[in-house]
Amino acid sequence: MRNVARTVPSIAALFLVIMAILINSPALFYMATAMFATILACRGQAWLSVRALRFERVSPPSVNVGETVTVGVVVWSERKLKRPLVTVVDGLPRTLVCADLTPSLPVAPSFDQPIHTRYSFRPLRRGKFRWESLEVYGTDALGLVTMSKSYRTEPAELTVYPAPITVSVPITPASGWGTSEADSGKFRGSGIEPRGVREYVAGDPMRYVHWTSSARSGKLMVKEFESGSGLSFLFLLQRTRGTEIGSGGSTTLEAMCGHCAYLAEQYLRQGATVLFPIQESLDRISNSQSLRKQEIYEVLAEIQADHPNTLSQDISQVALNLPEGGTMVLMLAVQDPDLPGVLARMSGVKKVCLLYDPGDYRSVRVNSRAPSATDPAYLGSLRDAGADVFVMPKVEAMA
Amino acid sequence: MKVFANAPSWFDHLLMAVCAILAVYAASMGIARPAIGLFFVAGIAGATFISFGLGRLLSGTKAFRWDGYVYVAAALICAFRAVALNKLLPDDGYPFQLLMAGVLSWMLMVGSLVAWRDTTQVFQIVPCIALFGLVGAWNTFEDAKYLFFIFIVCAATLFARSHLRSMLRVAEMSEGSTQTVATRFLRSDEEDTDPDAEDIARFRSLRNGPWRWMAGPEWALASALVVVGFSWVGAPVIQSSVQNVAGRLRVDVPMPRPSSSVSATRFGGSENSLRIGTGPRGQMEGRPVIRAKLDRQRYLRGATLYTYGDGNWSNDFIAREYFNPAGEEPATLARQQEIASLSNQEPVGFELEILFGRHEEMYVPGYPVRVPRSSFQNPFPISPDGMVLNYASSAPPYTVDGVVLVPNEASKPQDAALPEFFTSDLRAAVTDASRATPRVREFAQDAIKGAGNDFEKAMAIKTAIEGQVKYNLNAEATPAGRDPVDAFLFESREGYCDLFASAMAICARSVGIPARTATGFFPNTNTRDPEGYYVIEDVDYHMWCEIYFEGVGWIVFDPTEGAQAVPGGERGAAKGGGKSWLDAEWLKSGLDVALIVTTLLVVVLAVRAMFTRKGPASVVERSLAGRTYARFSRDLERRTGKPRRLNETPREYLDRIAAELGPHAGPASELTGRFESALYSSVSPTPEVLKGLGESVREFRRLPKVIA
Repeated sequence: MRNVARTVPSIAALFLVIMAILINSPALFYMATAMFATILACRGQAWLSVRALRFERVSPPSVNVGETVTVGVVVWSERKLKRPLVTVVDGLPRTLVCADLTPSLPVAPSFDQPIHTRYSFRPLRRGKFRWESLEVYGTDALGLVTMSKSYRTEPAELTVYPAPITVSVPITPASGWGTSEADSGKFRGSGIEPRGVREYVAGDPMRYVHWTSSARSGKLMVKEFESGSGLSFLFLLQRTRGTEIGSGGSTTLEAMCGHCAYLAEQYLRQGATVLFPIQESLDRISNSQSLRKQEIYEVLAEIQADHPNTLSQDISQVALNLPEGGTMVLMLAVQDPDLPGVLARMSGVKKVCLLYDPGDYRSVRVNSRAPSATDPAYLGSLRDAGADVFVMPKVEAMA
Repeated sequence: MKVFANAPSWFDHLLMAVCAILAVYAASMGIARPAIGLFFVAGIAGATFISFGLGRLLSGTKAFRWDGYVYVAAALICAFRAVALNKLLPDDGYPFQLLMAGVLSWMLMVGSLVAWRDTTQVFQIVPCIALFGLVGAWNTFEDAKYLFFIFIVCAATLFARSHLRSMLRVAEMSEGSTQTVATRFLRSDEEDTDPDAEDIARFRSLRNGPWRWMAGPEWALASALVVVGFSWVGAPVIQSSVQNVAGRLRVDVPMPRPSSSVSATRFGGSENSLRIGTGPRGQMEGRPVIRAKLDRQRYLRGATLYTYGDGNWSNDFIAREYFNPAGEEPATLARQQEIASLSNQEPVGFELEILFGRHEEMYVPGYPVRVPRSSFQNPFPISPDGMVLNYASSAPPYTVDGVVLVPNEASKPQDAALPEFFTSDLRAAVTDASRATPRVREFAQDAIKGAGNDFEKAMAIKTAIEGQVKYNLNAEATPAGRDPVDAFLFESREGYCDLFASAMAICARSVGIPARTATGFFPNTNTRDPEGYYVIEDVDYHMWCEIYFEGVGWIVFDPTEGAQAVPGGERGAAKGGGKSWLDAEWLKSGLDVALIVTTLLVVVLAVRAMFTRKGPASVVERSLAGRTYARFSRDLERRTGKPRRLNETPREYLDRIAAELGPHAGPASELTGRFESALYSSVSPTPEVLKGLGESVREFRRLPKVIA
């Protein structure tokens, strides 16, 4: 109804002008002139409201998927005139899938001091994003006419890291230093040195529940272990073009990255080495745990399913450089026919396959016919190749 | 008058109501039926009042958002039941051809009832504009432009305030808060701050911060005033500049036939009936109505009246054609015969430029021979009795020219005699002397003593009337049950043109001279423009007597010519109202003044609102809590017989009477605590809290009385 009410005066002004001329009615001339002048004044005011402005954007450098990002925009008026309120619509890249995008705070640009406006959104997908345009929308004081103008600003960059997604499958690492001692049964526990207990979180295996502490504290407590320093995990994600199934923030690759972030964080905390042999050089990783975590998130933010190589080709490329005794975690959603063969030929590393069912992520719009890696026959072939295989449950899209 | 509430304030309701009232009033005045306007003005005012209350009542409920749907449903009902609704209106409602105006008016009235939210309120402007457009196309209500200007100012203010509220909502959303002021208000039992104050604080911080340099509602108001000023000056210039291409389309809107008793101040329209002696006429404005090119000052006849009785003149012969030659096309042949019988006539050309008003008969200075319709293509039809019919009742301006027959200088009327082709009915009507009272007969007989032929008798009667009575437009109405002519000639002895004309006609008939009366315009020689055209104004509207002389035709006898005028009662100096109070000029002027005063008030309030800031307002809630506590304390008084002293706080009062309350002291203490919180805490009570207090008081009153 508001839109109708906003449109009618313009149409009425035009109609009254035509009718006034046709009928030659003095009253209609007065009305038509008033209406037309009103609309012209409104258009003029709206036109002026978006002219002669300068903008500066202030955005955080990085954020996790699902976290609220507030982008500040500073507005200056280059002319000393009072304007109706304007709103800013930032030119966010199309690939930046986001939710809860709020309108910018309406502001009246001032000549003598910068005016701050802001808007916020929640990114639903990882990535590194860069943009530099924004659209400013201005109306007249009556709100009848809306006009817009595009401005270029200094480029803004935002890196969206994946949000860690809990992995509930028990991944047994390969026996490295210390682990073999555990396997021998010389020490208590499962072979990895206990570091302490912590409160249970979803996904923790029940066998790690520390009943004594649980009884004492009244909360479910689980044991936390320090892995041996020789333990290393190598993550390889399927990045072949066309293998990312799903849309928006709910895709197989997003789920892989979320799981990867969780596992990597867990292993880092346990003192293990986490490597992404495809994306980074193995000799240039940081020793500091916090820096390493940052590096991992940066790597995960950049992974895109746009590469011509298949996962088996990626493995073949890096196979020679893989550290001995490590655990190679492979994440894939679409069948790679050569993969079982490549895995069968590999030795010296433990192979773990986390499989994602494309059927969980297919939407009506994205109807991929790619063969699922969770197909029982394919799954069996992976097991035959010596890999521990886990089918990952569907990761629900972030609201 | 804060603009930072989520729902429109009373001021917005007022603005909306003024807009709607201006539109319906303009429409009703466009068809000269103020009663309809009055009906809708009252209706819209009441509906707005109810709407405001309903809006407050339903605020925060789902029903609050249904106003748009209800509005659309109501509008559809108005459209589909237009005829039935139109019948409910006074003065027979809008003419069928103008039914759209009725639909829009009903839509505005019903819409005012359900306009709770901004969207619906601003949508009300749509039918308002449509209604003003119709009024402008009719071009019958000159003051419509003033009303439209006021409307523009009010609508601009309404739009601006609504827009500012929408911006506030955007600001709220931008702040990441999806809860609106209304929802916060409802949830305020969980809040520890006054939402209203919070809202005010937010608005203030915006006005002092990012909105400091804003062109807000005050700019909208200023712009609207500039627009009005520009239109005032510019519209005539624009109109004159497009004269060469303007006027290609003519909208022929039939003017509704006025009520049978027609005020002499009204010009235009058909007068088949006219009541005389109805008291002072309305104030006439001296507005130019016709610009006439005549060879000399002549009576411009518009309507003729034949039958007189009970103070009422009428013309029953137009429809059934009083000329009755057997076997021929009656009207045409009769006119030909009539014209052929007029040997002492000469043709005279004339030209009229109709400037204002709608006229169902055209004014002609004699017997119409040919009246082409200059601005159009088709000639006007001419009625059997020589009236020029303008059934299309076109909107001015347009021009008319033609040729009429008028008695020549050489003609010497002798005796009055009716032609053979006049029907018996017509003869009976124009010679009917039965309506003359004995005193009138005697007066006429005295007047014609010494006169020879009928012409001399008529002149003698005219002279006698001129000497007997005075012209006074302020003359009182004829007392009920009295014959206006008799009372005019022998009691009040003053009156205006219709009484003079009637007296002349009745006196003439009483002595056997056939006579009729006619209405039209008599131009004033002093109002001629530089080109020599007579500028005929509304004050020139007139009534006179006509007597038929054989071979000459109808000759004008106007006794007002020689009559003295009462000082202050001359033509154009009339004051007061017409017969019907709804037709009264004072009512029209009063409504105009009321609208202007209201609008000025609105503007003043708007300006005041711009420069004042209202503090946290929780007065209403607190007073509601106070009223509820008053009920509670009355109940305590009934139970204990001890009224609360003025200097006692609720707690002190309770402490004093606790012993008498017995087991009810506990609930009473708990309730008093809640009242203390509602009345004196920094947070104003929410509707839920008030409701809860009311229910608790009702429960407490149901508790049995403790018997000591």
